[in-house]
Amino acid sequence: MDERRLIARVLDGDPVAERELYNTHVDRVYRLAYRMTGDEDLAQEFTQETFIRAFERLKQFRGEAALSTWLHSIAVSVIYNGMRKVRRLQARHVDLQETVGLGESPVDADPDLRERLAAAIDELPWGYRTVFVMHDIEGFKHEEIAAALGVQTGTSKAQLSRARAKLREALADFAEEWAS
Amino acid sequence: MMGDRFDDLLREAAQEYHRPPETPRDLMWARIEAVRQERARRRQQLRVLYSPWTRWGLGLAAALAIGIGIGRWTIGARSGAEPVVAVPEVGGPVEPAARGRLAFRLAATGHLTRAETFLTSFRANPRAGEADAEFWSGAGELLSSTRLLLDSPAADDPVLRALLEELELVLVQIVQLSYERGGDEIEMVTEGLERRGLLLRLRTAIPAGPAVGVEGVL
Repeated sequence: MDERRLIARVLDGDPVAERELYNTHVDRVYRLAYRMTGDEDLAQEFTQETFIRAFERLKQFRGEAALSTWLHSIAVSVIYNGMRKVRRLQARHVDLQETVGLGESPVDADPDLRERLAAAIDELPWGYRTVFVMHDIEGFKHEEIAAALGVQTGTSKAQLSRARAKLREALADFAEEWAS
Repeated sequence: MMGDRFDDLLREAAQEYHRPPETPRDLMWARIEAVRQERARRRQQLRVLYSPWTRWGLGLAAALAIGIGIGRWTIGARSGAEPVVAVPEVGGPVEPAARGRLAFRLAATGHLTRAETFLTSFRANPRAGEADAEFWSGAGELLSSTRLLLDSPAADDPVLRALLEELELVLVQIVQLSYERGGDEIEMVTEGLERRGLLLRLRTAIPAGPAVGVEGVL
């Protein structure tokens, strides 16, 4: 169905249209939330909050961008803020573990590329990680990423380039081994 | 060439990074419906419980609370320049409902003034917060207040709502800087600020004299 008509039906309070809008976009929002959090509960929570806000604010959607772009900007905002709270809690938890001497490092003696790469992605600054995950993993276009983050397309490209450079740097020894 | 191939290998391996399970559509939809119904019920209760006069009091309290956190930081960051405060004029009788809306409008105006002051200081010195815990606390409180206003009748105004939503996104990014204080992160936030023209829009939205629409109504 045409997006505008669907939105109009949702605004008229049509529950079938609401579910249709949700079904159309939920997979991509959930995948992004899961990729960014790595946690099923958090991904569900952030996805739910994204759609709750979207339905509350749909009246304000001006149609200047695609609905998906607008939804992803809400999702990014929800994930940013949610992860901020999570990190704060995690920091407290780590402090506590260190205090009682339970802070064992879970470093693998011989991690394979996937594990090393996952650790390196986790270490990326938030902006780099967001752009890397959206573009290289979830296949968003730079225009979509830029719109969701409120930056220019060039900035998205630059952030991706820097993210990749950081990953290459983090995995430099692996690259040498792989090349030989 | 080798670098390109390694990049390809990385991209391929990255597909395994936090690989999502199948989307639990029905489960999440059920929760979304439950939360929306609950929020609608609470809104309805609030409408019934709070008279316009109570809303007026709440609006003023919100305006006051909003100022506390940010005020601590902005006093140090911007000495001398006092934010413009919209002072309504005394006038004839007004409908109670209009008074309620006015209270939230005044709270929003005060909030936008503080946000403008904060963002101006941030743009002038984005690294100011690195050694200033109150900066982050002020940013966090501004963010919370923005969300409160988004859920208030003040956000019934589409222009104000759009502005508050933009403000919310920028503040979320600034607050995030407290964990990632890299130069590129700051650059991204300041660029977002410029791109949205947020400061200009805030200044436009803040009345220079008495708040828009409140002249003579109190």
